[in-house]
Amino acid sequence: MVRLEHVSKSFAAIKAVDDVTLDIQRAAITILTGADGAGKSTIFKMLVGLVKMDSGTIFLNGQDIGGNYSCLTSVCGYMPEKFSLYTDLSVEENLNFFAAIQQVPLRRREELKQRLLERTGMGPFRHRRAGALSGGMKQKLALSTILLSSPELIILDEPTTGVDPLSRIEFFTIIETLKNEGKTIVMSTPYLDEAEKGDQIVFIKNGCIMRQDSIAGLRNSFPARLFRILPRDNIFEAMAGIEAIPGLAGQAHMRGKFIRYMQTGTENLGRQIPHLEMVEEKPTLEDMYIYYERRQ
Amino acid sequence: MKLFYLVKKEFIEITRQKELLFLMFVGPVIQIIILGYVISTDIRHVPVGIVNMAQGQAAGQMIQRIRQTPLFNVRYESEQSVDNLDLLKKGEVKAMLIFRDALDQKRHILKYPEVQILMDGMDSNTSMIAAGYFNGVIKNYILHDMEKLGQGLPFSSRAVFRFNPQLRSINYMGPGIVGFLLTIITMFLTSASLVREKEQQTLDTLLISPLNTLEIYIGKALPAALIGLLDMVIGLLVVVLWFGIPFRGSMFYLFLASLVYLAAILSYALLISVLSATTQQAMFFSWFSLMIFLLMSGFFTPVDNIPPLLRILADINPLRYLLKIIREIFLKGNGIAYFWKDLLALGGIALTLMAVSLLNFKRFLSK
Repeated sequence: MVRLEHVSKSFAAIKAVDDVTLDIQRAAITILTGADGAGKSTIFKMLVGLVKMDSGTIFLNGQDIGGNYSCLTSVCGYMPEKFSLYTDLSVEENLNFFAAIQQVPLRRREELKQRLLERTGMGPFRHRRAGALSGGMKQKLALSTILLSSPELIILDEPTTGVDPLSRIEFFTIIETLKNEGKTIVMSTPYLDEAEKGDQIVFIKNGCIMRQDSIAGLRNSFPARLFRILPRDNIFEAMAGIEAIPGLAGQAHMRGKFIRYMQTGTENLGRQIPHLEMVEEKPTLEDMYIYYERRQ
Repeated sequence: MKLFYLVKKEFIEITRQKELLFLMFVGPVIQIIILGYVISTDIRHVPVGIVNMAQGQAAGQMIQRIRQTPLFNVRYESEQSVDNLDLLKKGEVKAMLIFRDALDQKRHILKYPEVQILMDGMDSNTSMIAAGYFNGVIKNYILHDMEKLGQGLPFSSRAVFRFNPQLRSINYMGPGIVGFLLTIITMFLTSASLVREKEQQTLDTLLISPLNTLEIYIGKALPAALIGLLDMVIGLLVVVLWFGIPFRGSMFYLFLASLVYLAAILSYALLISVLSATTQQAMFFSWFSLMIFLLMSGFFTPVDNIPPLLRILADINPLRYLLKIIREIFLKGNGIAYFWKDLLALGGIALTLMAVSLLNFKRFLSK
């Protein structure tokens, strides 16, 4: 639906986004993940025209928008990283205000508002001031305000950061429903367990895309094998033993009672450390992120 | 319609803050009443010391007149020479009047005594006014005495004070305070509004909405303008009803001038809001500007007293023109024929500020 091609942005000497090319697929969830300051928010801001790109092109449905961001913002809803609604206004007043400025027809407003309040479970809190809502409810309200204009593309910048686990689950249920309704969702998150819920996952570091693919695609193309090593006695001694093995190309790190070893070469680890019990595991998104992050 | 909802939202936000409501609508009443009494160039109860070493009756009668006027409060009296400077240094008195017999060439005592007036010149304004009053009391006494003997002066002059016959300083200050309050309320409210949206990141949401730059600009300025005008009405009622200041001119012209002034001051406040990164910065910037506006407006001292180089600042100060127009409408009852040049200058400043502010606003939004 949307394609960013060779997009770059610098703030003074800092390159926030560096030659990013990204495809956002229609009716799918695209999740950008990376450390703080990786450039996720800048990409979103460039997408909606809040930050001007230094170079690059944005395509909407195959057409170069050519700096005309209104054609993009007219079909998208953007939820910034920080809660950005009016805290002195009630839930309902916020919805009314955003419906009005998004020019939602008057006759549709009430019905839409009702539906959104029901969907997000915020009906009982409609008269509560937005500033007095919990973190999860605030985010649900923010999401509701952007859904008022029924956007095709929904951009969510770290919507679940600082939100309690239950609200996060509820939030993702809504996101899944929206996807099933045909909406295109692009969001960022620092939580890798959340990123797994995306149809397309994008790893970002220092403004560059390290890798973008579906979870299956990432797993299939993952160039390393992962082992769980159970030390017989002392885990620290076992760790020291592994690190002392000459010519070992992979990375080992302790994870609770286990040692996880990421094998990147062709070495036969079983032969090199025969005294340890080893089980091969499927790599998680976290393993893959760490691998690409360290490789870069 | 979008603009209407933006303005409505601004009003809801303002009215939800009870403290702000108090400051906006009750604060000005309190401020006008306090300032009305405090900011006064009238002199009252100036502490005076009198040393009367004269033997004639005239000195005693002059002293009696001084005692009777409410302008002076005789705190010290002596018939012998004292250390006048010490009394002034201690601050017990602000003025020392020393009466001595005047002698002719044959050393005969003359009818009228010699009077020396020693003033504490630290507060030059009060000293000048008080010295003038002393001279007036003494001269009037002699004139009155001469008239009784049929020896009046061959000419007479009398000052007639129009527009403020009682020379009440509140009549001059009151309308000025109303103009000043209009400035405070609108400047602080507007300069904080946009920067607050920046801090809350709600501005981003507005920017990607179908609202255009001009709508956001007007939406931010309009609520403050309406509140400012309402405050002005409250201020006018207080100065007219509480202080009894006569309103002789046209309400239409007063509001016309105020609207032009609001265009200028709101543009300036929005410029502050655009340039400031935080509310604190905006507040400091507003306060700094407010002081310059006030000092360069002729509120306390005439603009003509400002050195020529700094007068340029006064010439581009919108408050200066508003105060002049308000005072003319209030006290002289003047129509536009008398102040059109000031209104034109104010309009010019307003247009320039609007252009600069809007340009910066657009530049800021397109960053």
